[in-house]
Amino acid sequence: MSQSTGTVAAPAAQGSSHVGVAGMWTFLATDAMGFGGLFIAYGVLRVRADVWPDPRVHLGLGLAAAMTFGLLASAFTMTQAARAAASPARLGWLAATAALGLAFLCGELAEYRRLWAAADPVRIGSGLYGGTFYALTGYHGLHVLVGVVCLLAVALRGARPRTLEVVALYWHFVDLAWMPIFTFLYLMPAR
Amino acid sequence: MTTATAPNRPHSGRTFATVLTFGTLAALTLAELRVADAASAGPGRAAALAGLLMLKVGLVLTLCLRADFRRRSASRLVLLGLIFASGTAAVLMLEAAFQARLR
Repeated sequence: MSQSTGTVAAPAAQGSSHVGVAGMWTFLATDAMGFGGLFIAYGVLRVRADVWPDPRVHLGLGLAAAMTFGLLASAFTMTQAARAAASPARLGWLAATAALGLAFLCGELAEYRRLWAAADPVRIGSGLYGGTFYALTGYHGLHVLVGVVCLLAVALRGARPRTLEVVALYWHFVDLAWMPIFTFLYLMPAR
Repeated sequence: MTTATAPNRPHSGRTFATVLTFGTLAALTLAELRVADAASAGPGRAAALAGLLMLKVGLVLTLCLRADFRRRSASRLVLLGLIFASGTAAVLMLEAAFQARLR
């Protein structure tokens, strides 16, 4: 009896895991459209603007570089967590990933605080430059926050390997989405 | 590089591949920082930065998200996403052009 249940349950579990991965890919595809729209809006507004400030005038490149390396490191720890899904070591890797995600968020908040308090402040309502900067980085920051919550939930509740794979997919996407933000907002020269 | 779809390789080999991948990504990020600091002209610098960005995105897509191993679900969905993003781009550009003409 139990044997027959096992043979029926295995394909069912496999099917649900495929659904989870496919569902996450569907979400990522739609989310990529959201990021795509924001990037395109940023590009169009920047190209058509009469004046666009040089990124180095306002933004802290050192902090952004540190945040980028932190996010890369978190992608590495996430990969290791997904690989160690069946062993207790996964908890350590998940905690490291969540900590790096939180550090990234703290860096972002520090950057916002510095920009708001600067002598020549950059705020949401202070023109296209500020508006697009906060829209892109804020949208990405929300993704990081959601990712950290998911990581903590998976770590605390304990999850199946396939659930970890789905969370890992999301986290790698968050890492991927930061790359063009870093290049366009922080590195690309004004003209 | 996610667990379930990774090819069956010895554990140390997979760890080495992971370290190599993220080492390459870090090196490309360092190269971006060097290029951004370079004194070359604007268009050349922008092209170099765009090239490095493409390399990084390609690496993450193929080695971390394993998009190359998910031909049926992933590739088509991502392709769909890109088509929709292009459509959004076209609409946004038309809108921007329209607003510019109004001004």
